[in-house]
Amino acid sequence: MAPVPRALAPLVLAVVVAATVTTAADAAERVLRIALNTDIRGTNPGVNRDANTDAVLHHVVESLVAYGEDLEIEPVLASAWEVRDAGRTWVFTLREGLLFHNGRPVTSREVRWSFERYLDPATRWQCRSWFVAGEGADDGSPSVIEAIETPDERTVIFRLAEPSTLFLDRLANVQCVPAVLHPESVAADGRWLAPVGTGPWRLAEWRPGEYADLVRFEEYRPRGDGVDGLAGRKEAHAHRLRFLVSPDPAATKAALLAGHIDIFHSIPMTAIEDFRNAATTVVVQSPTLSWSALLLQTRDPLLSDVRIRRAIAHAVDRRMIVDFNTNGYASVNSSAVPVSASAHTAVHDEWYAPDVEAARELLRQAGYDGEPVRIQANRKYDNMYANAVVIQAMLHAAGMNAHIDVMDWAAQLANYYSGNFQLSSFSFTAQATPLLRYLKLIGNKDERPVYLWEQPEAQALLSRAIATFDGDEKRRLYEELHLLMKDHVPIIGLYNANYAAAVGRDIEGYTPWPLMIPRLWGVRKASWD
Amino acid sequence: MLTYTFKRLLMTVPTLVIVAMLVFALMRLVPGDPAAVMVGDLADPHVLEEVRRNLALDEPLLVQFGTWLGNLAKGDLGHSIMTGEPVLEAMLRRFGVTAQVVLFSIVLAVLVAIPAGLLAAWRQNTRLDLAMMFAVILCVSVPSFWMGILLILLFGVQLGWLPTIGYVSITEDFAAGIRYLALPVLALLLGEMASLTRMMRSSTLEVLRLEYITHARAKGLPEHLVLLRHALPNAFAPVLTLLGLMLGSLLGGAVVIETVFTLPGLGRFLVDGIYARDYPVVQGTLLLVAGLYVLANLVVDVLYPLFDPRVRL
Amino acid sequence: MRRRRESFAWLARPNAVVGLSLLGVIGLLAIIGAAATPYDPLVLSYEDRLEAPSREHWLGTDQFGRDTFSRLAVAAGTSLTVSVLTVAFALVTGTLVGAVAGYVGGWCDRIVMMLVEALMAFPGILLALGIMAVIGPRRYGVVLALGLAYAPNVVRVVRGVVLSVREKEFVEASRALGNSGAYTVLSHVVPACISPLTVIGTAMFGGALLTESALSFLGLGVPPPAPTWGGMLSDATLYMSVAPWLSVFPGLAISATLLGVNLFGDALRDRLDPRMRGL
Repeated sequence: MAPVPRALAPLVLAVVVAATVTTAADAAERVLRIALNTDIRGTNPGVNRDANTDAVLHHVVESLVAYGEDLEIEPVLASAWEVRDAGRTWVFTLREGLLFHNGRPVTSREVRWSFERYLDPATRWQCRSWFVAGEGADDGSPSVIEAIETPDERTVIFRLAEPSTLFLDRLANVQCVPAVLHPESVAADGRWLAPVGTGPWRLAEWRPGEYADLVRFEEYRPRGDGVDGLAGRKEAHAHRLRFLVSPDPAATKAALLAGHIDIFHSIPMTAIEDFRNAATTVVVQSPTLSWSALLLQTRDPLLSDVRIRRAIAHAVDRRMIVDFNTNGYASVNSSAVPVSASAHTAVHDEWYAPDVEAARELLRQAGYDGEPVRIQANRKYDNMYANAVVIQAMLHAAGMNAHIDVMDWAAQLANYYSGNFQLSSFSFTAQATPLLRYLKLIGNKDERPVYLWEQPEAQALLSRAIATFDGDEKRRLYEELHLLMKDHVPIIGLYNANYAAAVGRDIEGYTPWPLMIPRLWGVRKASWD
Repeated sequence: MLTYTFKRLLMTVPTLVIVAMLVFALMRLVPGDPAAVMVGDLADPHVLEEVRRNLALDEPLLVQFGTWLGNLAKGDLGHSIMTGEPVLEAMLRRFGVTAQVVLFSIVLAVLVAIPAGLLAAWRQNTRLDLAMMFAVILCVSVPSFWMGILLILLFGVQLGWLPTIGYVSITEDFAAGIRYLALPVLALLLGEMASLTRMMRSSTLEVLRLEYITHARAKGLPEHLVLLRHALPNAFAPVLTLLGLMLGSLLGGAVVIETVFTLPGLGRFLVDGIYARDYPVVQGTLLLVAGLYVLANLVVDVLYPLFDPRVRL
Repeated sequence: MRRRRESFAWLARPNAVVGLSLLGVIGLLAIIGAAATPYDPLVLSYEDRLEAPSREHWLGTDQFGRDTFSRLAVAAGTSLTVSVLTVAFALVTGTLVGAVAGYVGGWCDRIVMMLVEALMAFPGILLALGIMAVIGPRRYGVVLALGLAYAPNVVRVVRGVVLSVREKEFVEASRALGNSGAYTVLSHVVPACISPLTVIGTAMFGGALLTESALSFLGLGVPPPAPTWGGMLSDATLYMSVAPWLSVFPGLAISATLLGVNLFGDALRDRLDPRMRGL
């Protein structure tokens, strides 16, 4: 037995020596390190994606148009556009002098190639159904593309089957990312290789489970002035962006405190004070369009009684939840129209006052007799779990026999899609317009169990909102929708959370915004000259 | 011995088949599907259906199982739903990470545990023995994720000696790789060292009272030679069994350690796969994990007689 | 008299004394938790969030303003119950299956052993993860999950004992006296199993406690709001700098219990394990 340890002695020695040698930091190269809580899912925009994938790819690729800071649609690769035939024909003029990462100029041919690729079922683009006949019909608002024309190098014309109020929003959609790509992004057989885009950085290396590295695209010409959403000026100060995968928030926080990462994107709001108290970090935040809510299954035997749902609305003190779980950094909101949206009028603030007695009275009238009520939640999204804890205590105080079912996110999400829940502590991802939000909520549960609100009146109001190009008319319809929602209580909206990021003290120019996607352009370290 | 090894290898086949069936059944019983995880709460319902069709999730379960087994026989484990990588490739790369951490920690643990256990047994019931056993028990009494975070806070944040996040392979940059491995190895090491020391102590105690030791002592052999030459080899056999079990289960992924230290290892791959309902990843990885476990035990069984002359194959 | 003193002498050894007193303290905590806690462990209080230990809140409060001491005490009951039930579940099912496999033998034995092999090849924590996900968030789902993961060990031990007992002459003799075979084997197997199962049992108890905390860390432990030490500890990792007491106390509780169980288990093993006796 003795020879074995002796044989290993050099190895041990090597360990000790190596551990004392410090490696040279990337002194010459300017690197920004950002922590992501999960790995990206791919590099193919809008195909296999999630929020973290989008966050990385928005630094690599660009679309014709994009949302600006104020959520108005701004030009990006297109310098201008024109609407003809009352919304049926859309003409885009491309900017001059744009280059792809491979050095080739951006022309209308690549735009057309990109969209034809997205519309090809083989691409498996997630948002294809919006633009293809017959497949987007059930959401009542398709933007079916009949033809894409390229009369010259810098002009692209989209001809739609019908006028669409949502076409531009869909081109700017931050999740589907209908980016303009060079055909070299795919192999001859159509297989995806890597994005050859137009963004200020290009993809250098993706090591699944570890990191994604982007390096600066030296030919990128910043345009416009100032950071403006996903449009505006994109000045790449960093030579390299490293998106590191770090699943455990406590460990990520330790890495930030130690200076091993620069930006902790989307910190858990429950722990925001802990970050604010740290000497080496700064917390930056912004209101968002994401919407935390308690979903009520209106087809549940108990919850089908509107009095029970109203009782729950009275029992849930939204302000208290905000204070507990976000340290007050969120806007109480029960309307599907976000507080920061211009359409959010005083009517949208109307809701049930927190009133335990009123809740008890309603429960008594409904003949509630201690039947168990189960709230679904998960630990992947800390806010959904924390909201469930507080709501459970509040329902308990109002005399309801409430329980929390913690499951993993995949299970809760599957239940959301199949309608298999009583109460679900949920959080909706940001939607750029209230219309898109309502589209997700309203519909018949027999057709799609995912719909939460199946009143015919609501459906009628929604159809009218989709059809109109008139902003004031839309606003009035949203108000009516909210009052109807208040009466029916299919959802108890809680708040529009703030987005917060913690950054190292030497980081300058990192600005959060309502769509939450991190933007590393315009960001620099104080030590870089 | 060769025939024995061959027989044992054959016997692993039914075990792995059962594992494959268990994994497949378990994953399909778990509520939630990969398509929903992929699209999140954003997609229109028909987008969800399209993604499901693309992943061939709308086929009957038996057909899916048959397809998977058929491809498996051809050595094709499919592609990850999460990242699109070939499962086999991804799995082996991540296994490399886990193997580095586990092997380093186990080698170090053995190097400490064997002399320590020998010493404790030799000095049984002295203050030294008691102190060592207390330390050992203390080491197995701390939850590993807590220990991990405490280590990060101490060595990474307070002292700033070691990196807190990320990973560099020692095959690429040995010095940097070691720095990244140091904390996870330490966190794993403590528990392993403790169990091994305990086992070494008790098996040495057992050996020390055997006749041949008394005999050797009676012959006037110096005590250190009695211990090293006579007691150690025989006392090592049960430790080897434990080592096999440990190696088998740890190589399958030290999930918690890999999560805390952001290591792209096999365990985290599996857990990420479970959370994302990435069927090909979970099925492939668990098969590898089970295979490793069986293999580690097989190796131990084959090696056992080398240390314990009482056992003949 | 002499024999009796001898058989309890091991309880006076330092391992056993320290181990038992630690377990006593934890037991007391659990009794306080079951009987009366200073505060309701589930009631939230905005004003009292993340307070340091004080005269009102001996061990401080958590991010929801809940009293840590009260939660720790109630969690003692939950955590210990989960561990005890896990061990009991593993012992009972493992013994039954092992005994039947060993007694019946043949193809039944072979199938059982193949299943056992397969289950053992599954990493315990991952088996638990899978089972928890399948059966959903039931309070004692953890028990089933961990129990199933631990049962194969028990099956192996019991089967081994049954096989060795079956060969012995006294079984034949007993059968000749007209006793049923199963009864005979059981009456001889049970005593022979007690000492190895005690050793495995204490190890499993510690394992269950640790694994429950690891499962909570991965988000799949005993569902809240019912407090468990593992859940409290994993919740607290985010607040390590503003509220270190939140992670220190549940961490200490877990470690103290494990220390107690391990020390006591060591003493018990020295007493019971035939290989160790007389050393």
